[in-house]
Amino acid sequence: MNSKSFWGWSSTEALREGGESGGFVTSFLESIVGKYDNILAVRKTGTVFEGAVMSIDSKEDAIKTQGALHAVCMELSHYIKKGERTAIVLKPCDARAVIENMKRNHVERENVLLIGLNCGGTLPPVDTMRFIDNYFELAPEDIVKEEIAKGKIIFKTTSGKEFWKTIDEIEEEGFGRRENCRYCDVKIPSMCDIACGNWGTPAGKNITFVEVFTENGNNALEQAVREGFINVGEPSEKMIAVRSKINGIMKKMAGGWNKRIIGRLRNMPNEERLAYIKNVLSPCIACYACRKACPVCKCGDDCKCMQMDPDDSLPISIFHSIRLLHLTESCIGCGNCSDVCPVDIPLAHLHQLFARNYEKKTGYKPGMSIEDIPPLSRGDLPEGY
Amino acid sequence: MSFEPKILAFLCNWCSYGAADMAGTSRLQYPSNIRIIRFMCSGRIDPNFVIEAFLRGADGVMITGCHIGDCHYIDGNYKTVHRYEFLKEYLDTLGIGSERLTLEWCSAAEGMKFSQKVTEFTERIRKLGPSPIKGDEQ
Repeated sequence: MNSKSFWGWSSTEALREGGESGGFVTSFLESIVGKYDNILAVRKTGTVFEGAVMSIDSKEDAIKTQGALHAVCMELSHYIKKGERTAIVLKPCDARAVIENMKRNHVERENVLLIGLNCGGTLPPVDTMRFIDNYFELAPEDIVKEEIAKGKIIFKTTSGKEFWKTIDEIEEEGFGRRENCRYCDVKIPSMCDIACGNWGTPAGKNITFVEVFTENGNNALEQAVREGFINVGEPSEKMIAVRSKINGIMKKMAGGWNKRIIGRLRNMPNEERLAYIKNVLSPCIACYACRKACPVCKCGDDCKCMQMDPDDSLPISIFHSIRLLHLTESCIGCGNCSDVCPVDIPLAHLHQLFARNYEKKTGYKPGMSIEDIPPLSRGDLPEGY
Repeated sequence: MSFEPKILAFLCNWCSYGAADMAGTSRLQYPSNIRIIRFMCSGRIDPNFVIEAFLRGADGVMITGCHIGDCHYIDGNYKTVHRYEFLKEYLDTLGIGSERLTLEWCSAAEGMKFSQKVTEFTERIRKLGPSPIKGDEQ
């Protein structure tokens, strides 16, 4: 089906005030309670820098998940179990991971309702705490809300004050969004059933812009409206244009970072790039945390990469070369590998370098649609043979 | 001592291995730099094998298989083609360079072609020099 756009907001006044942009997602989750085996979302567990995955069993649970958490970088796709009907709230990279898992038969498409959130990037919690301490002299407990909007990163404090800096300014100083978010170019999760976000909504009105992509998403939304959980309205042409303009600006920004981070590696002479890769991988202590955290790595413990000796004297360990091979056609750039690495190897941009070069060559971008078959799994004959 | 390239050649059982055999029985000369590994089909050659060959000190890798349409297993070599294209991009990105990898189709009757291709490829690798991924110690 063609995608449809709505403005949506919660019918409950308290949620409309308390939730993010009109509490649409919270109320939507309320409406599907009991209809799925598992409903997954992230909830705040302390300050805005701490969160945990929550399985929503009741309407009260749904309310606990309200509010966006930019500084909680969790990968939810790990929690989807095969054979269980699951609804899940996720950011675009998580959604791409779920799609990749669907292609590899680890998850069934018809069992999962993907509720996507538009994402301009996530914040690394520890660096962000350091940043607010350095620049605004704020403690993590002082922050009630953080936001990425209009090219700024905004922190709202308990006393009602707003502190902000532009994204560019923060990132020049080495703080700001996670590195993989800076060059990520998927801001609206078009592979989901529905995508929600505050881009293209009138300021101060507490409304969510909802784009519905699938029949499944459409049915769930219609049901939620029928049962009186949410209200929907027709968005104005102007605001639809505003939304795609913001998307364009974010993508352009991502393009700039892509040139700076991936492009720098791409343009190095071959020997230099090889030396760089060897060099950054050399501190690896073979803990396999990157593999464990990787949402698309699903070979299991029998994978060839696990049977290798980490102490061999090879220039690049076989573990990493196989992971680079496997992820060349499936890396979705979530950045989990860099996050979990105990010796701070910048794995995400290495994997993205390979994946983006391969994407340039074949036009295949992982995680965008379940119909896209990875080139290595196609049975056809490529041109020129 | 002058540089003698180490080349690993992956040959399919049905065509290319026959071609190598043919080259032998016809007494065709080709450089002894290649080390041959026989596979049942070129479609069995996992990209891991090629990258591991480079990591373990090969200067070049040659993959040979049946001509398109002649595969003993009907479409095994279609997979080889996809993997070859994938590996070329991978080797370029890694910095080894895709010119150190080659794919040739040799039927069992093409002993001449096989010896020619091996000679050409050995000369190409000789010009390129030792593989950059090899450490100084190797």
